[in-house]
Amino acid sequence: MFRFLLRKLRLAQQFKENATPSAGYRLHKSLEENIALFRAELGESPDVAIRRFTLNLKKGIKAAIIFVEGLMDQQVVYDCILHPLMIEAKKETWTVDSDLLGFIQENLITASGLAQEDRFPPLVDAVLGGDTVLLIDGQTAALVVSTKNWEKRAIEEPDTEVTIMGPRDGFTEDLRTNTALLRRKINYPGLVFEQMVIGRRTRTTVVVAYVQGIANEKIVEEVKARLKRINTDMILDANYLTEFITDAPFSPFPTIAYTERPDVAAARLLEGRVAVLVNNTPTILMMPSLFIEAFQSPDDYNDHFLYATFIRWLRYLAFLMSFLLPALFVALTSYHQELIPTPLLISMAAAVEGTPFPVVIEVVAMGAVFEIIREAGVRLARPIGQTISIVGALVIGEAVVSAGLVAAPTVIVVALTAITSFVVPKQQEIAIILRLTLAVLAGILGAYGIIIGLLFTLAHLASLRSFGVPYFSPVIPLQVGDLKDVAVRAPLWAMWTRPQALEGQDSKRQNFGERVPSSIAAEEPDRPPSAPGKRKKEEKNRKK
Amino acid sequence: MSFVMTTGLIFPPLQGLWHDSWMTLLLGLAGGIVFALPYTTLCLRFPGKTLIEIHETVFGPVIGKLFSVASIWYTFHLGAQAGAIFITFLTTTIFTMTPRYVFSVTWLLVVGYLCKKGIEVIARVNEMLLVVTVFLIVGTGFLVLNIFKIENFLPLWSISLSDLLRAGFGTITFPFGQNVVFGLLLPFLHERGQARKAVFMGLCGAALFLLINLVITVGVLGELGKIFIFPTHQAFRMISIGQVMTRLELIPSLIFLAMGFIKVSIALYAASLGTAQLCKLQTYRPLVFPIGVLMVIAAHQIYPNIGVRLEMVERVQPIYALPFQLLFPLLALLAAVLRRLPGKEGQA
Amino acid sequence: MKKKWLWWCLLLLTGLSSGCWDQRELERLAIVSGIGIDLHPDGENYQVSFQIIRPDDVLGGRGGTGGGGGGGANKPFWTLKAEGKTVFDAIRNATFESSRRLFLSHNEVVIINEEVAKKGIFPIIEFLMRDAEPRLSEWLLVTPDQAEKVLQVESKLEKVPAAGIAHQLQTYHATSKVRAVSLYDFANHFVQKKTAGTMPVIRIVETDGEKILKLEKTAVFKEDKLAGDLDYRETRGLLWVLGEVRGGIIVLELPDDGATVSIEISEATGKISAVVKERPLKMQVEIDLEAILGGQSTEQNLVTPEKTNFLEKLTAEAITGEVEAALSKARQLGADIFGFAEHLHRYHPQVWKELQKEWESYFRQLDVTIKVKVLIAEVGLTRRPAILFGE
Repeated sequence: MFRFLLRKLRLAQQFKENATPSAGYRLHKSLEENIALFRAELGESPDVAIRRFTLNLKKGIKAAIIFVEGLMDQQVVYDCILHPLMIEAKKETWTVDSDLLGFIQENLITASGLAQEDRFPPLVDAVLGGDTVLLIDGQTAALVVSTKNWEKRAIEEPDTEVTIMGPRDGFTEDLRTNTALLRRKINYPGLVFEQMVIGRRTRTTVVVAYVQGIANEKIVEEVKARLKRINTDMILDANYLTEFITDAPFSPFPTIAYTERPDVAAARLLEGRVAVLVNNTPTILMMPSLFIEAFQSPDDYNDHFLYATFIRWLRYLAFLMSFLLPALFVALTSYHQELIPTPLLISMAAAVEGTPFPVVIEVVAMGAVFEIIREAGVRLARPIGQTISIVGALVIGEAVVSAGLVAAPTVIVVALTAITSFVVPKQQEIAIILRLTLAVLAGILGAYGIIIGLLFTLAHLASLRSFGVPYFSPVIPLQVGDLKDVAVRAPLWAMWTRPQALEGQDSKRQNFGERVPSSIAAEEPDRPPSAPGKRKKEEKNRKK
Repeated sequence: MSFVMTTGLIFPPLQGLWHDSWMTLLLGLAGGIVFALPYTTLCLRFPGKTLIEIHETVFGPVIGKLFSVASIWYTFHLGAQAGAIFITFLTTTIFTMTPRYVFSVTWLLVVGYLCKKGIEVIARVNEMLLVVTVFLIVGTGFLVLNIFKIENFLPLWSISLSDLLRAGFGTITFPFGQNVVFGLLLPFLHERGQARKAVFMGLCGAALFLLINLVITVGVLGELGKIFIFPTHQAFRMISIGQVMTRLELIPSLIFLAMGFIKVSIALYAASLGTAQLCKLQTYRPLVFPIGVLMVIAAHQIYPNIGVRLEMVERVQPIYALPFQLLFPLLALLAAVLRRLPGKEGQA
Repeated sequence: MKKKWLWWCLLLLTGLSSGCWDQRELERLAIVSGIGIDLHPDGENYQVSFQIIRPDDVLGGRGGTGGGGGGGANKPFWTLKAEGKTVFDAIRNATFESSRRLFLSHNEVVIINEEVAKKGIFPIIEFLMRDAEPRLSEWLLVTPDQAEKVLQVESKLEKVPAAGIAHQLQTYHATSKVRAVSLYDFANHFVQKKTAGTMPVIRIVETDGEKILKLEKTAVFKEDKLAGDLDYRETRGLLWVLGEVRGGIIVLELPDDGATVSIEISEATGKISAVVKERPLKMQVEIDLEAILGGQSTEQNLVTPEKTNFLEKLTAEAITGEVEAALSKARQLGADIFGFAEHLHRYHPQVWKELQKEWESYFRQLDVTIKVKVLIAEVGLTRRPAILFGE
């Protein structure tokens, strides 16, 4: 398998060497020749516009601007380039000897983004990226005016991670908007964006973001190194990157996390993680990612910590159920009937009576049917999708039972499992895989089969690493300090260290347990208001 | 890390304990610590070296190899024994109809997979299971409180001193003395200097939980516990909450089973690692499955029936295991001291 | 690499195709809820009958999914007979007549015929302990009737008769005059020192032409053989000593006007101790009772300190009488049902070693002092009797 991949990689290497024939080109002196160059490179595509005009300085100089329609702002081009150069220029005093480009740059063009460039390929990139290139006859350099503007989706609340409280903004497809969203959350100079371009054909801009002074530099370097080694011709979505740089490509467990929420991304960045933003994708990648992250919903931090802890435990329970329940059901009904309370056993036996298939097959088949219904519901237009679910759930579920094809308890178990699997959407795919495997194992060997399956899974989880960080930490290896955001959701003032598992710098968020004490005089004379926090702090210091 | 591993190693055989007194356990602990002294000392004298390498430096290539083969055999035998115990457990309590080879094969697969992943993964999985086990033991402790009878511990001194000593000696060799396997693994631990402390802590922790477990078992079953092969299993069988939650014994059984996997994988890991070192191989990985297969065959050959196993654990084991657990490390230590070996290279 | 995957697939396939040894689908199981053990009329063999639950009919035939469909007309259980040299043999022989394998894990009662009990029940208990399926919590009973017939008596309240018997046993604390004994309890007697086991006796009685089951008496076993029985009074005497009395009524007769007073037991403990300094040694039984005045047929107001004390004394005497009765029956049978021997073994091991050999004859003459402390702490809702015909 690996060898096969390697061969592919090598093939791609050769491919790269043949590609990009225009590397190293420089501009000619003649405007016409330059335009011809662009025509040759960009073809006769109707969206590439070349607008010739005369520069009305002392003498008429021929010039042209090149841009791609739809990627630039017409208004900016008119206001900042065409109007100044064609009309305002008449008033200017320009001596023929001096540097024309420099003069235009300084005195005429009013756009905010402006650069001089004499090599050809970057100019092409600029045009394709939505900038406008100004070519002037007799000049071996061109001006690149930043005029990027295109139709964007507005900032909306992401559908995938809905919260009840907290901010409602979500990342969009536009990279700049996304970086801006992050900047708005973290107004700290240490937030670093490093840009690179990946994908030979798509030339996708990718930004690596991290907070300097918090993130572990080794991890940052590792992320950058892995990104640089990617050699493919298209990156259309964040997942394209994931599959290339993930630690365990065959593991179903995601060692790189996704988010569409700037608040989540900001929180993760400040824990010391690295984010990768991909242009044209509203999902950004967070790494290293731990197993436990899937259970930490942004709402946890917006609710009271006691309630959040309770909900988190419910989530653990639901996740356990989502992959264990069918297997347990199979094991109990076809191997370990002694565990079922007698009255329940009798009603289950009555329900099973007369159904044609063994329980394993029922469970697996119903599970598959459910997945099909779900898939159909997701892919179709929303109103039809709902019809599908109703048909699937009510009609099939009800009919199958009353026809005596499948026992009612099986339908109950499968339905319950289906619901629980939506509680932790980020690990849902694993839940589905595990669920079916465990159910089959349970069908072969009962509870022993389940144990074998779980041991394999556990061993796999224990061996996984995400960018050097053990995937199952802080549970194994145990890091007691990190459990404050795993076993419970501790009050924010008590989460005074960043996750130790990430081994970042500056592990302290604030002083231990330091809350804002009440400044109103205490009513109980024997107990100053800030006492509990201080006392604990002192204890801590003494221990050190 | 090693604390956990040690505990994990000792945990499973508690099914084999049926002594009607907790005193033997404490005696066993004391003995276990004494037994652990020679090899930990050895490992401390030769930091970074496994028992195999130590044997060679101490005794020279030929005799050293003999000693090494002996320790590897012992480890191997240990794994086979544990495997046999657990497979028997499965076939007698839960899966009475399933042929043994099914378990042998699945057992081998899981254990082999764990071994290939290396000691770190084994330790981590073990850590996880250990937490579950501790919760489980404590939890079931509460569940059986209503049928727990403190009188079941009486009379206190019913067995004679010689019986006590013999039983205590039995517990030293099984399970406490089995720690000697760690002689093969100690150098791979993270905090090397603390090896001895870790081993002792592991012994004490293990003894504590064995004790809790024994107390539960004896308190619940009383004298009846004597007649069962797996008293713990039987004690859990007694759990009955409101006539609805009954026959819960499957759950603790399966957890112990999982611990059994860990124990066997440690033994298999140690055996293959030892063999690899003995034969100066680059990696132990290719050895895992062949040795595993041999282990399964050995398990079936050495323990064809449960009677042999009981006999083995109770009578033969103390004498058979003694040289491996105490004599060989002690000899090596003596030789090392006499030849003043550790000083020059040991500190390097 | 590819080869390896192939191997895994092969392994999985073999697992799939050859698996399922212990698998027992629910619809292939015959859930046994009660076992009756009789002697086969023609000789040595056992005749074992099983009460098998028919799940569809238990639920009142509501979901007519395939299968029977006959509706509520069928009995919710079926009694199957089988014979064999041993109980286990009989269980497996039952499949001659049953389409499904018998499943014992949900068995609730084992009813043993008197004849079998007299012959010795060791092999039965041994099997029930050894086999992985039966529970340790199933109830043991003895019957003078055919166990098979007992299993066929329909319960008036429960769908499954065996469950009815189990519930009937568990309400013993309404009277404390019968004893519920589980397999675990009984097996404990086997390993304990010379404690005689007991089991409740159940039999069929006919009232108004209908057969119902009644718990009466307690069977006493010496070793594994039925030796005799205790009546209701003696049974409660036994339970006092064991500290197993949970409730019940003690009816007193007042000496002055012959009226009856019912004392309701609310809490009782029993403790055994031994005086070992002198020989022959003496056993002591201490019983502590907290009770409620539950009713009276006299007009006197009994809620005064003197009267209450008097009642307490009377109650203590009544209890002593019950214990004495049990004791004399036990002495007569030579069966140490109270566990005196076990007490000696636990608390005075040296003494026990001395007496071990001739314990039975020793027990027959054992001197037991009975101390009863009664406290009537509550009197119910009324503070004086409701008198109908004025002052």
